[in-house]
Amino acid sequence: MTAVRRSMLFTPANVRRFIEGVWKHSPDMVVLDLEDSVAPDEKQNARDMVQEAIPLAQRGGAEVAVRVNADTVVEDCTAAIWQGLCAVVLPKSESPEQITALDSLLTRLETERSMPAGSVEIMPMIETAVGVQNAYAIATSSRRITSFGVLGEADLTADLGASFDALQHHDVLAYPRGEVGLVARALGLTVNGRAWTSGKATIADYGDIEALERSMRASWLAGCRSTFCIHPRQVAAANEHLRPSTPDVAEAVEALRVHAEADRARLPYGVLNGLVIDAKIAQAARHIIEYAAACDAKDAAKASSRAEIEAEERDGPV
Amino acid sequence: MSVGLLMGDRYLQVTGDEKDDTVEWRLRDASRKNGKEFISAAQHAMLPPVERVTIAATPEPAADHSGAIPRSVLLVPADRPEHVRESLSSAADVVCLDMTTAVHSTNRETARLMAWGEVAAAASSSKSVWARIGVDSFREDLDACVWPGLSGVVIAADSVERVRLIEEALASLEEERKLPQQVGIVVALDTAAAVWAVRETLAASPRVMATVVGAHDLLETPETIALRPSYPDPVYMQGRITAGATEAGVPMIGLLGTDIVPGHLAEVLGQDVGKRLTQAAKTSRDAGFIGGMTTHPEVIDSCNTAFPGFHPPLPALQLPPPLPAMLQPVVPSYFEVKPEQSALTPTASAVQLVAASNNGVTPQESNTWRPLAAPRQGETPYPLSATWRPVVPSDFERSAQKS
Repeated sequence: MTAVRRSMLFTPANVRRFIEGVWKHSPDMVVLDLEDSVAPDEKQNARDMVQEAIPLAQRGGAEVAVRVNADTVVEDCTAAIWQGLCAVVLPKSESPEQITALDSLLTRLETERSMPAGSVEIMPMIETAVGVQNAYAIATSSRRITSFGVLGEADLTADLGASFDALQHHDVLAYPRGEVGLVARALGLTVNGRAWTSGKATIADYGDIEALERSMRASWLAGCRSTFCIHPRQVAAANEHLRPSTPDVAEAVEALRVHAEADRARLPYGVLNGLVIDAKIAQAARHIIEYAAACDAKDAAKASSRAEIEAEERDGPV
Repeated sequence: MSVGLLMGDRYLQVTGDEKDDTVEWRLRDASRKNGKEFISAAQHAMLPPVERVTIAATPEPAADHSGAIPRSVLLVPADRPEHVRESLSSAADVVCLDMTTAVHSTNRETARLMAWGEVAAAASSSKSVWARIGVDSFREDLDACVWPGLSGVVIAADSVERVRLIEEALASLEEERKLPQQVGIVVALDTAAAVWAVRETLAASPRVMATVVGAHDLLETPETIALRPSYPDPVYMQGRITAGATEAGVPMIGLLGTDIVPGHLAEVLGQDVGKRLTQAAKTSRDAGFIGGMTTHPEVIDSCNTAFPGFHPPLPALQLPPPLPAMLQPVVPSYFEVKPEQSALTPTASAVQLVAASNNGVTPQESNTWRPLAAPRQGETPYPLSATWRPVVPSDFERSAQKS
């Protein structure tokens, strides 16, 4: 089944209360954070808690990843690579050597801890100018990388010397987004991250719900499949908009019908509302229908897990 | 006068009329059926003892188009001879026989069968003749259409190797068939991989004579997210293509910049379609494109109007006469005026300003503070690789292979 990871919600790994309640927000993926949302003197505490936190965060049907610190990758991974973990988010990814080193480390830990080889993915965060410059080399440096994109708007903006406020009016990240997005598409990787829209809808600013939804919709149309969230509001918007809408699916079904009809009549293409439906568009329509079904399946699985937890909390453990 | 030709698996009948100097051609049509039935009937008619005839005379193209700028390229399905004939009387600069997308998969063989006659017919008109061929069937398609009169083949390519393959196939066919002309390659950029490698791909061969940008295709691949191209502003891709094509010295063909996309049929776009199409062509011209490619004959006039059809010479740079030395403006620098204030230590007010924007921490107090966009000090934390590398197998894959 296609992996559906519309919303990836950061949760500090050292706050048990947050991890126990994260299922209420219904993210597709929980990212246990050891980096920015954990204070320096809490790092060791957070590391100690990760193994226990993985099954807790999985309740509610979410996948679980961990964000490590770029300068303590070995310590963080040693603490965090346990059964159930699907990915390591590597901040400040700047070179392929960094990825190959992490790849070896993961392979060793997987073997030691009897986990399936290659089961832990690497999600590099491109958030520095050097990272953008080396995007292609990074994306091709390990088969553990299955998705790619500019994930780290705030840090990248700062590294480029640009003002974060300017993002409201002008896409100062147009070039990095284009370059990294093109690399992802050229290599057949899933595109992560967000497209630019005007207004307050950056990862750090989620106050304007209308701007947030517009941003998510634009991201979907630009080909992005998943985005990081730091607030439950973003989770809801991502789950709703980073997927084909109901009219999209209806149009895709209609397009397939038109194409089948044309194919029977041995015409190279059919026409639907003025849009040429050839083999390529028919393939696109199939993609849309399949991905919508995968999203529905993910939502249904999450809903049933949530119902179980709610019943358990109401009636006590079975 | 009528001549029948059997070339490989093609059988053609060419009829000349001496009075009005035209050449009619048609495939031998024993069964008057189409598609597969027609091909099998034609193949049946071609079984021995019919003699194989090699072509002696080669029809010369009516005009030399080697230096012509294709303002308008009209795509016509190669399995529809009536459309091809019609297109020859259109205003298009180039007629491009489409042997792929516009031909149903069961009719591709018919299209190949017909290509020879169509190339010959189109070459005897005043048009340049191109053929759009499939990536998966490029050898068969080239074999079918590389004949005297063809000046270019349009094909999707995303790497140097791909262009070289096509180049070799073209060269051997030209040699074998003693073609009077060299066939050019028009690279269609329709995948993300092609845009990524645009500069190398377009510079791979001197035969690459143009590139076609298929905005529709580009925005839809490889993982499609909507039926209609909806990317808000593909500014990066356009920039990359323009820079790569310019560096390789290859002109760009395509229409962009409006809500009119190649997948839309012109007739549903409303009354002012002509005006909107012309605007699209002008936008493309201003973005550096030299012509447009289309399946809609309505678009041809717009392209011919908007694209100049030649490269306008750049006006010579007019430099103002140099100023006499004594009239050079000299603005005294700050350090000349107030030397005591010019040292590179921040003034007290500047420190306060920085502190205010940095949570009250001044640069001197904070060891992590660095000004925005400051150059990195010393070495980067990780050594940077000198060259890009292909995907390397991961550790876990290597160990799986060993075991």
